[in-house]
Amino acid sequence: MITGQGNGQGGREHGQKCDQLPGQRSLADPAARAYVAGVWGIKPEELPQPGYSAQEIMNAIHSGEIKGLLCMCFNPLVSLPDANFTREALSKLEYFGVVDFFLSETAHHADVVMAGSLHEEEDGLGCSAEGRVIHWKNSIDPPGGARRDSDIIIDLAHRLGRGQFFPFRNPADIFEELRVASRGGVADYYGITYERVDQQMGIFWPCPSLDHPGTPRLFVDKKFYTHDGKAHFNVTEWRPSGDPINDEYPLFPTTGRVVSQYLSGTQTRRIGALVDQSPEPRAEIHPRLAEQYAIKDGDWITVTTRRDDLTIRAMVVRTIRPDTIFIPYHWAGTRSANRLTHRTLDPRSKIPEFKVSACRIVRAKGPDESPDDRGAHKNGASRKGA
Amino acid sequence: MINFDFIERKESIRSAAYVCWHCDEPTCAQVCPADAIKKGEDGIVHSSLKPRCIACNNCVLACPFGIPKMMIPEQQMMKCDMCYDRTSIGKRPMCATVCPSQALSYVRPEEISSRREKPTNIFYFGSQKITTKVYMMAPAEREAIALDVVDYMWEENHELAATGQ
Repeated sequence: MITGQGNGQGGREHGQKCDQLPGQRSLADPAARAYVAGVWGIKPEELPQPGYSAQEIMNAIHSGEIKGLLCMCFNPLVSLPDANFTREALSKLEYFGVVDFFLSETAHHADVVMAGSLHEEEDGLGCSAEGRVIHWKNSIDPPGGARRDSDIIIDLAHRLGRGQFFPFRNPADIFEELRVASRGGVADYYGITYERVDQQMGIFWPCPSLDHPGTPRLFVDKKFYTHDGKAHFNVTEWRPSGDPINDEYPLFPTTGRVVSQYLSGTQTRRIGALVDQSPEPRAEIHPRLAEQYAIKDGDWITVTTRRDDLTIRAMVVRTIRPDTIFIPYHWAGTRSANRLTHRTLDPRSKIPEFKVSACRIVRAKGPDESPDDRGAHKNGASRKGA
Repeated sequence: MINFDFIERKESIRSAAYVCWHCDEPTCAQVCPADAIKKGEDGIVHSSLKPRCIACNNCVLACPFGIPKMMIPEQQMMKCDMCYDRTSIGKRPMCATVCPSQALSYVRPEEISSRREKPTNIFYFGSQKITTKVYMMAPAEREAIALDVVDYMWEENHELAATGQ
């Protein structure tokens, strides 16, 4: 499985997940809490308990449990399922701050927007999909009033009265603390420094000491992280989708990506050459299915799920199952695939079921002319403020 | 500059990326009325010379491989020049440097000999024989790649094909 973001691997090692501490430690583990709190100079009781995953946060905002949100380089209005639900939730927030490099669709809902940095404008270490810690070197400064994300966080910490715990002048200072905090954990970065990373083209964790070469491949000694040291094949019980097909919604819509657009499109929908390659989302449909609905390549079609509908152009190809429609999700508003998707989560990973849902299709007369910020589904749900 | 195509998107997601083939006797240079296309001693065929190119598109039409691109704002033909700024100082062209599957590779003959396909640099377009600096990987028994444009012109005329004309 190839990870979708440049530092996706690194981010889920040191606490960008709601239940995690540096070194891939668990926020619920008392020994981990004691060690990391000691590194950070606070008492273990001051650390929170494990929190909510991304979709669970949005659910809690919608129910009123969460009233304030600081959102960093995240565009849930495009990338979370059931976009109408997300829009309702965001409009309920009493405080909504967004740090992002461009004004995304989500940022339009914020009370405060802080102009942050692209990765080209920030310096630091991250971890690639193969577990190699590598150096992102900044090549340009943020323009105008935009600031480095790290500077924004440090500034906010001072304003919240916790500045004494953030005595960092730059990302290298931050990393000095991070490598100590990760020491002894599964993702042990203690032996990693900027100099070593630059000299050796990156260092694979675990790297427990400064003279350790790093670990390019885990489990070469055939000792796995299980109670008996053996690798376990886990049986997964199949269960049906949380949005099953039936006579009214007989087809499977699935969502994914195209090569020339990236994630929620905040960067790539602003780059002309990439937009030229993929100017709009196209629904991939098998010729046999297209023929049933008298759909030709390039025709406008409306895809309807239990949540909302989407009108985009068809792309008739054999490289999709005849019972499935594939729609890329990088676009927003009336071109957003996640208007259709549902909020069922995998019980372990909490990943939404982006890949399976239920829909019906019909040939449409033309594009959807509704305003981009229209409210919930036409079928009766009331329109909330955008 | 790279030429990227899907081979037949309706049927398959297979793609092909092509660089300029840097022909030994470049057709583009031969048809240029302004003598704007030059080949160096290293065999690299360059983009058109800016002071000479009149954007007539002869080269775009004539190249059997479809490589030259007419850059309208610049009024100049440009194409792959084997990343001359890199290859002239011992580096690989950018495409081969970044290609993760080495579908595009810049290697010595002995490094390619371990592959099942074999490199060939002989092409026939109808009766025109073309030899190139860049090799295409082909099945081992195929010494040359032959394409006849007439085959594609007559594709639609089923009747004529049936009567054998």
